[in-house]
Amino acid sequence: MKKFLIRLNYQKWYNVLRDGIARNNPIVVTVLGICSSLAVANMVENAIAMGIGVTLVTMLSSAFIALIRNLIPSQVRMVTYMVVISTFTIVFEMFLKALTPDIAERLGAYVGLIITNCIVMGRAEAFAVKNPVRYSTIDAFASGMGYTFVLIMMSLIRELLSNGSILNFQFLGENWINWTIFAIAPGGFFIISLFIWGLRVWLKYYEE
Amino acid sequence: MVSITVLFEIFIASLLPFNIALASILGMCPLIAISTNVTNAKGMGLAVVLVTTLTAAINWPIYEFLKWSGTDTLDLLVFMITIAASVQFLELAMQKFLPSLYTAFGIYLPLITVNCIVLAVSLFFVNYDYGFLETVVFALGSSLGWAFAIVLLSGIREKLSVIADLPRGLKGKAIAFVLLGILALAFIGFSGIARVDPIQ
Amino acid sequence: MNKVYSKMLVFVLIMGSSAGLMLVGGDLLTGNQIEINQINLKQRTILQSHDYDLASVTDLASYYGEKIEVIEAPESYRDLPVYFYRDRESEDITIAFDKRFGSGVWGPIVGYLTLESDFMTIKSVAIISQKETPGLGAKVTTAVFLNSLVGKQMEPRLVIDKIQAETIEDLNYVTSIIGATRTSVAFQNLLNTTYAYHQTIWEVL
Repeated sequence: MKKFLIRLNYQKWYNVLRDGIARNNPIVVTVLGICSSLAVANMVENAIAMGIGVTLVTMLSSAFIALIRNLIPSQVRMVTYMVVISTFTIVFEMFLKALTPDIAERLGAYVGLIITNCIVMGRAEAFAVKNPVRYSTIDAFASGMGYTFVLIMMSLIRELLSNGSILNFQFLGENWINWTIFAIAPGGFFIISLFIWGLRVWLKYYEE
Repeated sequence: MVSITVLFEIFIASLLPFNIALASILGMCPLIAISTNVTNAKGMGLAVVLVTTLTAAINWPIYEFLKWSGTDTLDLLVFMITIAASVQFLELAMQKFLPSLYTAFGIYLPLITVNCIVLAVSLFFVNYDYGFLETVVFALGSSLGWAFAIVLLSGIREKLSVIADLPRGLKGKAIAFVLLGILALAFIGFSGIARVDPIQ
Repeated sequence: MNKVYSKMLVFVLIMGSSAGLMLVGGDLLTGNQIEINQINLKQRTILQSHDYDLASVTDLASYYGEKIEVIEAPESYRDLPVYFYRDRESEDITIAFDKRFGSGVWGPIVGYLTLESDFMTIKSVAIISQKETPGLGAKVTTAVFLNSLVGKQMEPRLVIDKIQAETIEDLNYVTSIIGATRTSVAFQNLLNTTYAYHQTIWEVL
């Protein structure tokens, strides 16, 4: 068992996966992708949907860009990323509207904003354009999972405090007065700052 | 024809109570990154106002064309392409005709392409079903609101970094979010003065 | 030089064709389902507003067809077309409210208002979509609030107000949501405008 774990550390795919989730965790280290996350992360359902959306779009677009990385002329790099990411986002939005119309209704215009989500573009520019398909996909999956994890953590606290429920299942009883501030913008800001503070102290990664 | 009061109402509404940075929480990436000092913030804010208004004005007729030809599911793709193209074009034009202005805030222009609010304004005017003048006024108000937020935030952060003794973990991005939260709370006080989709 | 151009051409072709393929494919696969979802939602909401139990219904469209009669507004009112959904048995009527008649604070409120056959007493109110503040204005969609509208009357106009509703016993007063005054007022105006417009047409029919 121990040999297996030691050998694991040398596998490239494991390193890529670990870095994506922990060391390069977008939210903490580079605060990417917050744009879309804060406004919709007030209920766990929405957070899961957004997280899955971003992960899927990042994986597909990273894989596709890694596939054609040798063909992209350097001047039109950014435009290429945008076309690829836009296409996958539109397809994802179509499937979301078809399969889960109520979640699509709640997320509204924010699904389209996955295109400008810095994680998707950032992973494409930093990794997918220089690495083969399988590593790019793993890296994208790791980034997406890191993002989803933070989003779900935040929405758990926000939904619990502002509604007394998790996934629409009431946890806190009748006597709980809702802390509605956490359902709207300021609450999102406060929660994420506490989160970043906590993670920074834990990982001892400070910003001077 | 849309009345002046409706346009004014949309402008005030997108500037204050429905501020795109503090109420809809969009455009955070550059907001946090560039708000470390006021001069940079002013430059970025100005660039964002210019680009957002311009691209909204261009995207509206394009969206009308898409609606007419029945392919409005492609709006995201087409909007992104026009945004990238107009930013590129604006950069070249500024480099050639206004070189002093270009050196002042030209470096921010490529960053604006991925600024969420440029695309968000275009997506919102689709949702709210605006006409052309309303779109321009909405884009102007929203981007001015974002510029307002970033200048406010950078002013506070600049002062805070000098006079406050913050815990190590809070320095930088975390305290910026706390400040944004307080600003957002303050802006909730503007609720009710105007509506983003006024009844006509 | 030619190699560079041909490479670029290949690239553009690949991008264009794959993007086009994915978009068209996605549209083909999902376009129908999206429309079906919307029609299903509307039919389900209207049937439930008339107290029909849908648990055992297999073919929604035909059940809807046999239970509900759709009446269109006459020719002269076609520039703002409205429909009346009348139950064939009980003669209760459902009308739709949406952004043409007003909206909430943060966005349009879309739903169905069902009136009894006297076209005055509320039988039920259903909301399909709204963008109000979660926990405050969004309480307008809770069963508690919507049930408080049942049995109230739309004449002369529905009043959703905290202070007045507590003191007055008339049937057109409803208590507003605590902490969501603006949403309550907006919703009240929306319902009244919808009702007034539909009423003028209903009297013609």
